This record gives sequence, structure tokens and C-alpha cells, in this order.
Amino acid sequence: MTNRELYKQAFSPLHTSVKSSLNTVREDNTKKVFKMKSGLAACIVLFLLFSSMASAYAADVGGIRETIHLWIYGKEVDATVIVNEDNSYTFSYRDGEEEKSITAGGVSLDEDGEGTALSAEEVAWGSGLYDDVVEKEDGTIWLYYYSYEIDITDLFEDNVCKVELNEDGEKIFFDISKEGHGFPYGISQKPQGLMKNYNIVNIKE
Amino acid sequence: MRIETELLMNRYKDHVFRIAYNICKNPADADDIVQETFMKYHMSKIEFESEEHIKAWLIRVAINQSKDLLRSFWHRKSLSLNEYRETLSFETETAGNVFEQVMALSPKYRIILHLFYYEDYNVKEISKILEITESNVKVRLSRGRKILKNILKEDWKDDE
Repeated sequence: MTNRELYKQAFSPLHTSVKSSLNTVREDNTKKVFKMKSGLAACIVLFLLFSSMASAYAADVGGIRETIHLWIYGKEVDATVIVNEDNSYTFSYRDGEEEKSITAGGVSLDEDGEGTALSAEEVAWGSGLYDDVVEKEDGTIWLYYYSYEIDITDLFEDNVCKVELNEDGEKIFFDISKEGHGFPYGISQKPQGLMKNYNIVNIKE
Repeated sequence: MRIETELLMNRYKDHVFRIAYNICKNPADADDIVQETFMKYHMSKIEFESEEHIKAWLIRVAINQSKDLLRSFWHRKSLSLNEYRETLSFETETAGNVFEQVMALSPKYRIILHLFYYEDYNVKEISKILEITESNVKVRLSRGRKILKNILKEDWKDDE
């Protein structure tokens, strides 16, 4: 077998779940425009430059150090933050038995396009260090956001779960899907799609 | 020439998906790119020279959309490569290994290998699609192959 044949064999099992229907494309594009608009507005305040993650001890590269609190699976965790020369941050924290580190950075852009480096907390939020979706051994599915732990098992419909968290008027929107053994999801301060589909969950300290 | 959008989707949606996945490494994002790419085609008024011309245009749009998506504010926790791999049925274990090792490469090698080995484009055509020089394509193709050969050993031949 040639390399070309082998390569094609390796990538042929990948298929899109998008149907070949113009109506589907139109409908999804309507949703997409909405998403893109909200994304565009959000870009004014946050633009993640890069992000990388590794299960390893963070290299001690110097820079300004501070400590912030992250929320890993609903548990508060102290993270050491190193401010790198390019204004990115390296967060190092313990996740169970594992030491993890993630490097990310961002700028906020004002209406004139002027950028200001984001704070460590803002970058941590944008990098998903305050939230997670996990299936427990008993088969229940839980959404974690800061200290909140919400059972969303029954909120799935066709492997999709949309949750609007309300905390004293502040809203956060989660779009969660079930794919294989994982739960890829998006988090945003604006609804991503048709708002009426969100399951509203009110949370209080 | 124009081809009716639904017909075009039937023929090329999986090609567009594979290219988008190659860049985004996220099946949900790649699905979004498929929708956006064909919507762009549907809304465009471009008269194409041939079906090959349309295909190259779709690929270029998908690559640009994928790169834009990686820079967007909307963040998504994706399935890990291993989780996604578990959902795929490979004909052989070797094919699964090739998928895994290609996806572990730097994106600048991945996309060129994909256009060369999957889409059967030559160096000149890849250079036009990616808007980089032919020598740059050759260098990346050669380095990508070399890395795969080192990892995959006898599973990756010395042929092109």
C-alpha cells in the first residue's frame, strides 16, 4: 500500500454530521449569524491570543508571580500565575494527583482597536479554568461553574444541552453536546443560537 | 459555471469537514465550518471555470474560516483526540496510527500533508491554495514526511 493510499484510509472514517440540505444550511446559518454577531461583540472585550495546556510541571521561567483561585470540578484550587514577558500568563495548579499548567494570554480591544492586556482572572475565565462538564461513574452528567455543581443529566435533548445560568441577574450560557465519551461545550456571556432553547437554572451563593 | 449547492454538499462536505478538522481538531467546530463554507458558496455570485475550481475555492474558504475560528472569543472544550478517535472506525490499526500521528504534527505540516495525500494536489496547487511559496510547501512537505517516517517506521514507505 502506498503512503497516499494509507493516508486516505486513515482520514476516510471522518464524516461531517451536517446534512446535505440547503434548508439545514440556511437554518444553521441564521443561528450562526447570531453567534457570529455575539462573538464579534465579545471580541471587543476579549481576544485570546493563544492557549496551550500540558500535564507537566511549569517551567520556572521567572517573571512576576501571583496567586489566584481557580475552580476545578467545583473545588477551589490555588494556582500560581507567572506573568510572561509577552503579557501572557502561565497558570500552574494541582488537579487531583496531577500538576497541570496552561499558558494563555489576551487583550481587550476598545472601539478604536487599542488593546490592553487582560487580567489573569479574565484570561483564566476565557481559558475554561472555572468550568467543566463531567460524567460521573453513576452515569449522571454534571456542569461545574465556580463553586456551583449542577446535575444536567435530564436536560439533554438529542445529545444537546443548553443551559442558561442566572446569578443575581448575571447570565452565562452553556452549549453542551454529547459526543462519544466526551462533552465538548461552549461558554459565552451571550446566547449562542435560539434563546428559547436554553434551560434556565437560577443559582445563588 | 455553478453547481447546485445541495449537489455540491453531497460531493464535498466530508472533504471540507476533514480539512476543517485537520486545522481545528474539534469535530463540532469542523461541522460549523462545513455549514459556513457552503453558505458562502450559496450566497456568492462567483462564476467558476470548472468543478475543480469550485473545489479549490471551497477548500480555501474552509481553511480561512478554520483559522478565524481558532482566534474567536467563543471557547469550546473539545473532545480530546483520543476521545474522537474512539468514535471512528478505522479499517486497520495502522490507519488509526497514521491518523493519530498526523494530528500530532504541527498544523503547518498537517494541512500540507492533507492537501497532498488526501486531496491529491501537487506542490504548485497547494502553494496557490495556501498562498505561500512553492519552496515553502516543499520544505514543509518534506519535514512532515520525515517526522512521520521517524515515528511510523516501516508503516510509512519511502515513496512519495
